Amino acid sequence: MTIKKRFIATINMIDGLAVQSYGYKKYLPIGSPVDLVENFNRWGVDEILIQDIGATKSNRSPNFKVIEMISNLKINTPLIYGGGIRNCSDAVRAVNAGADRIVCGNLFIEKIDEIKKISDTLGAQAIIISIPVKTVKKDLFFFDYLKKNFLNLKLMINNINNSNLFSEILLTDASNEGFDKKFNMDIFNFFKLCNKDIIYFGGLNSLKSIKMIISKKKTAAIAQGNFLTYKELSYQNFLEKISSNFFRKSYYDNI
Amino acid sequence: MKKNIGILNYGTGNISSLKNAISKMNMTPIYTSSVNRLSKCDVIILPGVGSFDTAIKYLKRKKIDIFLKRIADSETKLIGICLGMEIMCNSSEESRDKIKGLGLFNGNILKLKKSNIGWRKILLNKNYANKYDLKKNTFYYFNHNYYFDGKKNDIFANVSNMGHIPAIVTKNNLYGIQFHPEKSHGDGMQILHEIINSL
Repeated sequence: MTIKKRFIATINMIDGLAVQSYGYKKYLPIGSPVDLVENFNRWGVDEILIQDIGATKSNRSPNFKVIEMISNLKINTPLIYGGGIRNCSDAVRAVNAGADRIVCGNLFIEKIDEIKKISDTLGAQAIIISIPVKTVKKDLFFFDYLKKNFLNLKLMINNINNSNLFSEILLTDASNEGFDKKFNMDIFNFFKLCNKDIIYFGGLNSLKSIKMIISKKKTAAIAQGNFLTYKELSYQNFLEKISSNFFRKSYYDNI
Repeated sequence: MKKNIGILNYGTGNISSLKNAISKMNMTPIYTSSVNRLSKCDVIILPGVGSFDTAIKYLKRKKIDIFLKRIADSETKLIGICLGMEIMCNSSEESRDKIKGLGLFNGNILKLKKSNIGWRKILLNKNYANKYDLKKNTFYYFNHNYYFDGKKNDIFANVSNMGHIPAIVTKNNLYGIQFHPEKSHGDGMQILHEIINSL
């Protein structure tokens, strides 16, 4: 195998507090995101993603304070940050605060010039584009949660395929995010048309679905959020259950 | 006595992981752009996030480039990580202004067809296999768009299954690391420790 698929531990955050999120509609506060990062780092996950899910909606800047607090921990796991990145200056500040990579969502559809500036400054490897997907009458749409618009993914796919400004897509099943074994495999089937490397997220904890998804070349990673916070060492349990060479054995396991 | 490890502050991204890694290795990280302070360090590291032009312009403006070239001719170990390694080379395709690199490694930096992101194994070059005992099943975190293209003899290790992409280059007291050892958990710490202390 040329490269291992990555497992990304994801923390949804609102107002500096980690939450369990259900379809981005209901939230259950679970504590400090910093404590969760410490655990995920100890478990040896491949990357950690922090999403401030209220930031863009409230027109708030990224939560640099939380990034800095995480950065001050003695962790050695790559950190991805998403939420509230409105321009190149925000992106650079997030990286200077401690993020290795950033996630941009609405900027991709609203201000592509800013994405270009970020790409020129930080490099395409540092940029992940977030695509929240919702299903309406069995058709898939990019859900623009700011304007409550449903954008036609079939029309967007060429723009996505032709852009070299970013490195990966974070593809979220926005309706099923947080719900047990609910990831809509139609999304996976649709994105076979996409030539970008993809991170899959949202209700994705069925071993059968995960095995199918990670067997595809264009799958770069899977991300999980809620499911990791139910039990201690969830990541180790996941690796044991999935028993797949597609994932790296965590360093924790190698000790 | 604890080793002092200078980490050059040249306006690039966050270096807290690197500082933490060095502290964990029971050495003292000194993050500075002061040539005076760096010259007292046992090892100097050029960390790596950001763009080639921004970094090299900063070094030239502050005349740190002259200092680093002098270090390269001394016995002090100089280690470049990712962008840090790239600016140690002759040139980079990333440079819009066609600015030359430090020219410490005889090679150029070329653009990859697509970003290389994730955990990969590395393979030691036969010439160096006796210098380092690379454990099986060790993975390192890569996150880059450019790679080193230079003298084969200077290549310490390649990226596994990406034969033309070096993972570590070396020449005398100089080391260039393409991946991020400070982000590669215990395996990354181990190889960084070896490079600082014994290799």
